[in-house]
Amino acid sequence: MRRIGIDVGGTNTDAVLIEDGKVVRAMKAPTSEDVTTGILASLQSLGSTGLLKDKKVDGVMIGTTHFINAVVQRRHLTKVAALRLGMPATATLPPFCDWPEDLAALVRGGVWMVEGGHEYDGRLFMPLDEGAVTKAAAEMKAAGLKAVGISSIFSPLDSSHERRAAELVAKVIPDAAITCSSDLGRIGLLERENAGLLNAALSDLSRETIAAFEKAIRDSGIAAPLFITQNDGTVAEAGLARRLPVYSFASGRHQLDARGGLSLGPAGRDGDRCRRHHDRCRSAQARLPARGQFGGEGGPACARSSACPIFCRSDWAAAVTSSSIR
Amino acid sequence: MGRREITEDDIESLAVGAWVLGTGGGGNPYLSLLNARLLYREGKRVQLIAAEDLADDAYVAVIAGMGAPLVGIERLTDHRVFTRAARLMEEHTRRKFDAVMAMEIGGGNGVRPLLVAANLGVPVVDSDTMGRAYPEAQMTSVAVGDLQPYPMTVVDVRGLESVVDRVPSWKWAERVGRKIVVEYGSTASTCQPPRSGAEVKKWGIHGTTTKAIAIGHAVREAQRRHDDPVAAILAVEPGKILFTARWSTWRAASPKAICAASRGSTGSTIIAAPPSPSTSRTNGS
Repeated sequence: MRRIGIDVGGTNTDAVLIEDGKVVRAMKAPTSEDVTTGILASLQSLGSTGLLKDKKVDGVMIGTTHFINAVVQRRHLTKVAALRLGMPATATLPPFCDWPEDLAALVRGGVWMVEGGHEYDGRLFMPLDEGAVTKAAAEMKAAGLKAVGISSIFSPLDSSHERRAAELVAKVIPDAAITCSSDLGRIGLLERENAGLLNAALSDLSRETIAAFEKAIRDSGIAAPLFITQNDGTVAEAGLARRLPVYSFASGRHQLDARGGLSLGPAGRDGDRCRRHHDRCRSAQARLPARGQFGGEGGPACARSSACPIFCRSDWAAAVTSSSIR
Repeated sequence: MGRREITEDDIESLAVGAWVLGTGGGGNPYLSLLNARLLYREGKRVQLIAAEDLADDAYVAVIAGMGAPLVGIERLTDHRVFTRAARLMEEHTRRKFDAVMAMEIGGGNGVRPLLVAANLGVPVVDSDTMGRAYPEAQMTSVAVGDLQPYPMTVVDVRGLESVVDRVPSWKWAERVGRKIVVEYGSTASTCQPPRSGAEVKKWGIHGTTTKAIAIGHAVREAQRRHDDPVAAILAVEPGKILFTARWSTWRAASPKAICAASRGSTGSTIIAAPPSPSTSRTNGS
């Protein structure tokens, strides 16, 4: 097993080559304004050592604060259309309702609330108003919005309304970047929705950044898949990380792992780490049902969540916008 | 104490204090706080009056959300649905309310009477029927006083409305009400059996809104100063630290481990104040 771990810090970009769990080489390069030049420099200097000649690299793992920084610095954020399925409930507290004003002003592209959602026991709360969803999508298109965050009542238990709404929106806006809240969060509509909206706001930056990382790896002459560190201690394949950039929020501790040679394989392979993570989280979540406990059709939304029945990661994203008493 | 206006800052403190008095029950007041902020932003204001200033024949609405907090954080809170529960009671009993009070000061239910009061344009009474947050209707002070346990209105945001018109006991009120709430999806806005001013004076747990505001204010001030919020509560309330403990993993949260922790290490603090009605009463008078 041969892997490269890269920690993109504020000042330096550190890279290590790890073979069979041992650090073989460590490099340092100044972090560039565009982030990727520093990564390319690190990879090239690793390559120039000759250590990698004719050798297969199993993965390049990058830890980056790029996405959380975009939110903190209010930069590179995309305007988001918020579509909530839950009327007539939730009407007085629309999406973005408790966001910091400056962040909301940057991200709020528009709010649409239509009938839909489920009960805690799997019954319909309201049938999904598909006509209203399609009409909303047309209005989003007219407003030039391409990033869409969809939330629905009890979607962690049954995500079918979110999925169906995503299909309907994609029919009207084929190149829309759609985030379903059930991909990110667990019970707690506002928190889960906020995580989804932030994720959607990062869609352009995420696409560009992950593409740039992959290009840097290619340009360095190393043929290896890209993985991004996540805030649950695992790493995600580039495709998943591109779709769900909020999972890189607060992954700093794990970047240290990446640099220190403790980088993990793709998520799910390292069950032990996953379990330790859950042990940490369960104390806070013991009151809440694990996913699937209520039944319903909500299958795991991504590869990793099938290995992780308890959702924790989106809490970080939610915390960014939740300034109040929770 | 007479009558005074509940300020915007009081609402923030009330939400924190109600959360503390809920001691884990009553649900998170956050969503009710967001609704209260909304109403205050619209220019609405709520007056707080002492029970002793109610006329004996005043007609008082007792407001409570009923159901699972877990459902509440998905369906969120809507001040209009709570107001509808009170209006439905007015229609059913053909009498207008003179004031609103909380069934339980703990958790979200400590803030909800404000939402109804703001919409009805009547004051909130500085009393509740628990002093904390309890699970069921027969555990309230009005049940201890054996006051009439009906009628009760139960309202769902989708326009479902029920009136429980007659039950023989508070236990039955809880059983029948619960059946309706579960069918609604395990969350509903209720107007509990209305009380006369005389009944509130005799059987209410008094001064609890003021107490929640004071606790919340102390906690928020302590947080602002980066001080210990638990010490701040003890400074304004006759509480007692039972033990301090640190739970490092979820496995440690077994009764055995709690006992072990109470004998040993330090860390986060758990406090409990004596929940006797007399404690609550002295505070409001």
